[in-house]
Amino acid sequence: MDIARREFLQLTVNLALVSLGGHSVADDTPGWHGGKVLSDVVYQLFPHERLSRDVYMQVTEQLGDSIGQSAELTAMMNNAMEVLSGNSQENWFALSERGKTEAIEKIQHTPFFQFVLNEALSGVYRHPLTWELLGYEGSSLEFGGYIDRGFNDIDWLPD
Amino acid sequence: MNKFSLDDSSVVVVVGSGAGGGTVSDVLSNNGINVVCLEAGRRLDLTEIVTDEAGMFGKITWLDERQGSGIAPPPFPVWNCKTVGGTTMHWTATGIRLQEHEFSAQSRYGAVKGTTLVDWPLSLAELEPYYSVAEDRLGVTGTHGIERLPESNNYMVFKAGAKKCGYREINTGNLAINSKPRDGRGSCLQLGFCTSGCATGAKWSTLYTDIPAAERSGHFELRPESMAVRVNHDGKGRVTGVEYLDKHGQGHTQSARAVCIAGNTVETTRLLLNSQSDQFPRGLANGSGQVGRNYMRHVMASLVGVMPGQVNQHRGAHQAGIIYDERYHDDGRGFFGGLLFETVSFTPESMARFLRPGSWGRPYTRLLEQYDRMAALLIVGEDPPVETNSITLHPTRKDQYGLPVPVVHYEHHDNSRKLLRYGLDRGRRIYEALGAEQVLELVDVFPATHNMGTARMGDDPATSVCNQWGQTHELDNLFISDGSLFPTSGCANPTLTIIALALRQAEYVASLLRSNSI
Ligand SMILES: Cc1cc2nc3c(=O)[nH]c(=O)nc-3n(C[C@H](O)[C@H](O)[C@H](O)COP(=O)(O)OP(=O)(O)OC[C@H]3O[C@@H](n4cnc5c(N)ncnc54)[C@H](O)[C@@H]3O)c2cc1C
Ligand code: SF4
Repeated sequence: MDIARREFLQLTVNLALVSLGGHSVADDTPGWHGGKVLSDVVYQLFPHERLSRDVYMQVTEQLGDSIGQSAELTAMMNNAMEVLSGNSQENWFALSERGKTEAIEKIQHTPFFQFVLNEALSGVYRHPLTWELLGYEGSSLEFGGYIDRGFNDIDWLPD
Repeated sequence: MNKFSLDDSSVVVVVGSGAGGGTVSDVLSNNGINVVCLEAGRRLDLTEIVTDEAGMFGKITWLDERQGSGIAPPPFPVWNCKTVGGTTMHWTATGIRLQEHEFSAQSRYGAVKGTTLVDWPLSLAELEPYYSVAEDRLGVTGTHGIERLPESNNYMVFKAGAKKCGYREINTGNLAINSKPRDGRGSCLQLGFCTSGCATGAKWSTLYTDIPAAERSGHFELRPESMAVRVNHDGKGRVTGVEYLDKHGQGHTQSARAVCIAGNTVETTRLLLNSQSDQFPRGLANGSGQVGRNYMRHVMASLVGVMPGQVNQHRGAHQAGIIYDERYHDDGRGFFGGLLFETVSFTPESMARFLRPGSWGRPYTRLLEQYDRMAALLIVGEDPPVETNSITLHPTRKDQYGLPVPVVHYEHHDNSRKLLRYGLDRGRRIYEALGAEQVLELVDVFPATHNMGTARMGDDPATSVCNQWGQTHELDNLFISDGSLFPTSGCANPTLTIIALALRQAEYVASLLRSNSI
């Protein structure tokens, strides 16, 4: 792995750590389109049909905030949008799911994609609605733990 | 609460408040010796320990820049803590002993090309009394008549599969987690947030055991948010004090009669290397050139089985059981050393991150949607010392303290590859025996959690850094008190051994101080 990429990964770690301020990507930033394309990209990365699209929208808003804080990331996003959709919302949404996947594959080795993938992953899989979908029940401290709530309720094992 | 002045040269300075540093601080101070503990991280109020993995990660994890190379993950090669309590906040509390043969790796396995296998300068018999005290202090289940934890779903799957594979030595482990209230702490409620600090305090951590016990001694001062940056010495082979930066970045020097470093391998190495001087051009106590070499992290991998029924592995303690059958050395297996299977659990986020790193798209989300049917285990195997597996300083990059960034380099030895393959094949059968739909291998994806070997003990100053007490060969009053001491790794999780060695060292330091030998 070359140094630039290593540093970029470090940057993504650091970005994930700074508490994000109030900036956001302006609606008229080229490539942003109110985040609709990016939000759909996030969905294509981790598509759960039974998960509310609001989850993807919320994750995209956070992503937009991080991108808006960095001129470098904003420039990278604009490049990515150009490759994905020729900067046109209509083009993007005219693609089939397969077409979208192929478009994303074209950028999947870029640092920007790695950044988006990392943020999308934490955003989607930290979301309580995703937890509900997957059957993860999260904190049980307020209910006295799982000790009386199914930590040993398995019933399909052979004797 | 005590306060010692910076020029008080009667104090012992301990660097780090985790497993090693917390233990040494507690024992020395309760023997009437004045101790100042410098801890880089913050002291959390107990109410700040919450059942929120991402939130706790930001609060307790060591996030200062490090670099990995080889198979060590580049931006995050090592996972440990920067907080009072150290990595006993993240740890899953498996507290087991090394086996007898693991103390004599070279005699037992022979000289193996590409390794620096050696025998330990002490035997299991010599460490046994300290293991026993350590188990009692930590309240390790299955020892001292302490009841083991009850069986969880993830464990019951593990056990049922293991039995079908013919394994016999299977139990819910030896855990420093209270099964019953003990030592003023409550019992485990099976919350399943062991790596996020334990909100019930059932899991042992120095934050709420050794550190307060040291404070009660009246001979102890904890200085949180104090990052040691250099250990000073005189011209007579003695260390004289420790320079550190406080939370405002202000520099201070605490004088010291002796110094014990327990920064957890990476930081211990960095501190020694950064303390180089005209007399110690390669770094303090590094005449042998061995500081930072022979870095070991155990052969580690996970298996996730997608089972025919619900498992809900998130409910309950992470390391809820162990299969011991494969831990012996057996010439017939084609590799040396042994391995353990231990249960482990993942949140959805960590599952998505580690199951198939970098994957995305519909096939991946379909797999992740089986989350509630996933069972998981960890393979922990003996990792031979290899001289080129190392911790070094980056030539140019500096962190926020102005210190060179540590570079962690790690590659598998051939033996580790064989051990790993064997462990994966045997481990997979555990789940397949119960009709798993698929078993996924998580290999070379985790940052290191067990760190050992970079200031190894030995009798020969030319090939080791410390003697059997963790006293450096070159400076009589400088001690290393963490996993850096391990000459070889064995296959047991390291912390109980770190603590046993720290107890033994503290006793030795106290006797040297009493007899004015240092
Ligand atoms: C997720 C996870 C699970 C684990 N589970 C187990 C397990 O089940 N069983 C087991 O045996 N082990 C386990 N471990 C490993 C265990 O946590 C460590 O072996 C143990 O904590 C090491 O003790 P230590 O004293 O060497 O270092 P630590 O406990 O890491 O303490 C070092 C302390 O030193 C401080 N420090 C470092 N440098 C400086 C400096 N320059 N100045 C001041 N302070 C400094 C750090 O902030 C830290 O608080 C686990 C680790 C992780 C990450
Ligand atoms: S499972 Fe037990 S040890 Fe782990 S966090 Fe919960 S109460 Fe603590």
